[in-house]
Amino acid sequence: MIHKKLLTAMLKKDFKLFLCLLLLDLLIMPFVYVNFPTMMDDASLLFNFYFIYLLLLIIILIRRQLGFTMKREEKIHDYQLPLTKRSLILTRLTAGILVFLIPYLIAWLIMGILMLDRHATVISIWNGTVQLMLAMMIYLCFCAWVFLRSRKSFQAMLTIAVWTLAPVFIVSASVDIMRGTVTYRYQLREFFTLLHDFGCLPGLFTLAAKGLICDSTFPSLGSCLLVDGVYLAAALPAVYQVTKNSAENEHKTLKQSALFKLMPLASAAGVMIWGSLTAVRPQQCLLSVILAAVLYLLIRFLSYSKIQFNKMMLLVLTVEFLVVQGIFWSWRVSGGWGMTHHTTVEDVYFITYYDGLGKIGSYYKYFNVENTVSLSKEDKEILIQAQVETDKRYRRQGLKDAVGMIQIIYRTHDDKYSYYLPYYADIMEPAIELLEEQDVPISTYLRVDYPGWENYFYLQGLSIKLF
Amino acid sequence: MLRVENCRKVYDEQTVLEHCSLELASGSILGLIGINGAGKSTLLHCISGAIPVDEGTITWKEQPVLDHPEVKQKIFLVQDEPVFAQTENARELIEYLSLFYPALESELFYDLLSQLKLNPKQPFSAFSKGMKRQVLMAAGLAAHPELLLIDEVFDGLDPFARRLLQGQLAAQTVEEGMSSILTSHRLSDLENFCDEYALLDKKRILHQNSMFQTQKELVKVHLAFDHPINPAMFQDLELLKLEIHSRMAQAILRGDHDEVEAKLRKQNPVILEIFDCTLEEIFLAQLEKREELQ
Repeated sequence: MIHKKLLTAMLKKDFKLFLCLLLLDLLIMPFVYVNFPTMMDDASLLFNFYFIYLLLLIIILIRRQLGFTMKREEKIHDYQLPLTKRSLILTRLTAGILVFLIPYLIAWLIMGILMLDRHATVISIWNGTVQLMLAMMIYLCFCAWVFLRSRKSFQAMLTIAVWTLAPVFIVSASVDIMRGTVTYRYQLREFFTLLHDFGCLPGLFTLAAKGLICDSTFPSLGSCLLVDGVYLAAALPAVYQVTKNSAENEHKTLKQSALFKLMPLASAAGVMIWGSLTAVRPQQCLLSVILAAVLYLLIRFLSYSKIQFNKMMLLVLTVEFLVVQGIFWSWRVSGGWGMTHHTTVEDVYFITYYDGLGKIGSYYKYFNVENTVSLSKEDKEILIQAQVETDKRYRRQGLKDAVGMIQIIYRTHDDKYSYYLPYYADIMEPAIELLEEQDVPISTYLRVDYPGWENYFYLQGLSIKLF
Repeated sequence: MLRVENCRKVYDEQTVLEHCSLELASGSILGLIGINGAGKSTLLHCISGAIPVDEGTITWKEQPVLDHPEVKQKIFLVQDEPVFAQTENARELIEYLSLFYPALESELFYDLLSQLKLNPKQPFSAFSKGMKRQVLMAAGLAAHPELLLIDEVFDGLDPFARRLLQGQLAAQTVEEGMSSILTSHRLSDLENFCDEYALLDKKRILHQNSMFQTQKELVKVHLAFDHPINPAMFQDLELLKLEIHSRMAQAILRGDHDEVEAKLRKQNPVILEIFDCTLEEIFLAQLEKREELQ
């Protein structure tokens, strides 16, 4: 399968490049960590930078080592050599992996070892490295597939960019919207986090970072490997197929692939879902449809170099939007199909957390109900009443008039659940006054920061915002 | 022996080759001719195993070429457009090719380069297109293939380089039994060099024959009469081409020289001259005949 003579010759030729890359990778990973350890307190920038660098490495690897070329003469020159097409591509890929990716992995491992005293454990380094290797393989397969199917360089780069970045932006935007504005966040949080980590290719790389610094506690290595396995099960046969030197293969282009055809539609669908989650007024619904249509046409224009105003596709998008919107509205009106609990005072064992932020002028008023364990039945009743009213109001008018958010975590005898509710001043402020009259200790103060802190997850003082 | 059987090749929903068949014996040189876009280069690419055919088979000595490295080692393709994948100069190129072609003889390559006055260390970027083609042809010859495929064979070569490479190709054909398929737009290049030619037209090989046989079968005549010429006088003959200028005529006819001469003598021409056809004349006559039949 691999042409040993060619591989040896390529490695000999690229040995100096290997050493340069090793030096560079060692400089930008362990060196940065050792010299600026406080960067790890907010590791987002660092890890995002590493992964963007890795993505670039993989794309360069594909273009350079795969001998990816759009010129017909160069393709003919390559494939007339006395070895199979698959053998040529796999040999070049192997050389590329050894030259480009091994230095990255070595640097990654050394960084993990240097982090041993602060964040990492032996298991987390192992987990992180396994995750990174799998993510590399998956992304490599994806890029190889795209490049081998493409006839235009721009087309290939656009496909990789859209499928790499669009899901990140769409999912991140959805997560932000959900975190910032929509109630019942708790139930959706895991779904979106998983979607963020697994639904897009860079998400796979973020798992490696989580594995390294979070000891793979979230999500578990097992579930990561399972999803990676699914990706690989799809990716490897695709690459095997695309490297076959057959007439059917030669005729198949990226444009004809289902993935490419789906690209504009799927991107527009992302906007539709985002719109469905957030839109309350009809104007917002219309705006989502227009935005989705523009995105659809834009990607179609860029990838096909001409606008094909497909009325049927727009109709499909609109219907899709209405269906998704309908589902979310019904979810809101029905109270979430049993995802939320009907809370009564008798159910509440104690309230572990009750705090919120409401905007007052240009500031946010922060309030926090303390010692909730000692709350009386009446006190609990006030809080639950406020929650029920808020819930009803949200279903009726959405986020209109909401100026902030409240987090409540209930502990019942057999369960624990949390709500994120909109802060409607006319409901919450009388409730707080009532609580104060009941001598419930409440701390209040003004904050100037934006309540966007939910975008982070915390672990032993370390925070990472991924993409 | 090369055998191309009933091949079909489609590019972007456009059929380039259809029911295309060709045979070539070991130790012979075939000139592949055809108009621009006829599919000559595509046929060479398919024979080299660089691209698959949609239908049909291509075998060299009864073994399929595609995806059979051991067979492809015996075939070398020199493309019209010089390509030097991942190599900077002639020295790197020959080292790269030696990874794949076990019979490659570096000494012969360097010897040819020195005769062509090309520096093997000089980067390709400093070479003209003709010089690049010289390097590739020298590499192809040095690889000692059993089948050498050269697209636009002497295109861009100076007379000295042409003679040198032609000589080397002829020598290897005689001494090693190497077979070659050459394409060229300059049919005079092929005429005195090929053992046989194949005309590729209408997506298939329209005609394949040896030069000797073709020249024996086709006759070019110049005629002059003392009266205006009536085309009906040629009705007993198989005409490929006829040009009449009042009392003079020029024709290309299919048939035996003696038979054609005897039939024409019966018309009592004032002048009757019989010539061998050049490859160009054969090519044009075949095409014109085909267009007439359409």
